[in-house]
Amino acid sequence: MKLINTYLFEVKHQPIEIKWFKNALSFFILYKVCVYIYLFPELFSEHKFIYLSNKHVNFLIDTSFFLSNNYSLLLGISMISILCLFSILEIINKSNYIFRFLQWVIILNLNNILYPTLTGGDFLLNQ
Amino acid sequence: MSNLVKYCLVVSLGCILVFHFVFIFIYASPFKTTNLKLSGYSQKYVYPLFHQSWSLFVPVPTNKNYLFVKTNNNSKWELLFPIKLSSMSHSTLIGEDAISLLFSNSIVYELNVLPQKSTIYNSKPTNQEFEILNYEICNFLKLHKYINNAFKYEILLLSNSYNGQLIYKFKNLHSLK
Repeated sequence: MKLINTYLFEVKHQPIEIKWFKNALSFFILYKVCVYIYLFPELFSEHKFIYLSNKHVNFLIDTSFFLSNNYSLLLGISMISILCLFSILEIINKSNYIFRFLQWVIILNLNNILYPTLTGGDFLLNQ
Repeated sequence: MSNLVKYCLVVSLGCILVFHFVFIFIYASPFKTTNLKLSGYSQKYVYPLFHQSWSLFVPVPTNKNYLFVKTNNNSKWELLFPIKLSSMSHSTLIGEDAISLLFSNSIVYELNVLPQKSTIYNSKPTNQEFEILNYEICNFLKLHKYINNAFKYEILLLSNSYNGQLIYKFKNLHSLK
């Protein structure tokens, strides 16, 4: 038990484990970026399948619907590119809190716009 | 920085964290369905900034509904969902989950508002669910059938529900501009 506790919770290993976790997360985001690029015509192009409707609640909530409320091809491409850039910066240890915060906001925006393509749970609940 | 300020900062941060995790727990727990007041507060706090979707745990469900389309360029009914969509991408790594989910969700939402008997619609239904499904089908035809001009089409929706098979036909539909 002591060995397991030491292995999992020893402080001296934590920075390395945190870095591993961040790298894994960044690689996963890069994989998602590849999916978005592969499915770009269906998800982001002029003839995208995603139906957009404007949603305005308050400034804080609207930040997560910015892409959906102001959609343009250029904005879509920019957000995917910036997400890719920030993930690479994270992997090469050049990221900081501001970049990570922006990354979170962009992922929120992409998740909100692509919501109908993400969830199998709603389907189960509604069928 | 004095010890008192440090202490206050730590206590405040602790309180914020406890508040955050309690609300996340309520949002994700079964209490949400039994206590509507708590559910309302947690919904206001968590959605959309801290929301987690079911897709983390649920794979693409098996499909029981079929969607056929007939355009004025082609007199035959074509099965658009699920076979046509499945043949769209062959990448094992990426798959077709996203587009399959999009269509299956929209079909299920539309079926929920349709009557429980087979019906023929001679004009476009006005409900929001059909508006969304129609938008997706129309853009699918434009993108994968390379139709640039305005076109007319019909939709046939087959649903295999607990009550048996239901068929809905939507006629006289026009492509979106």
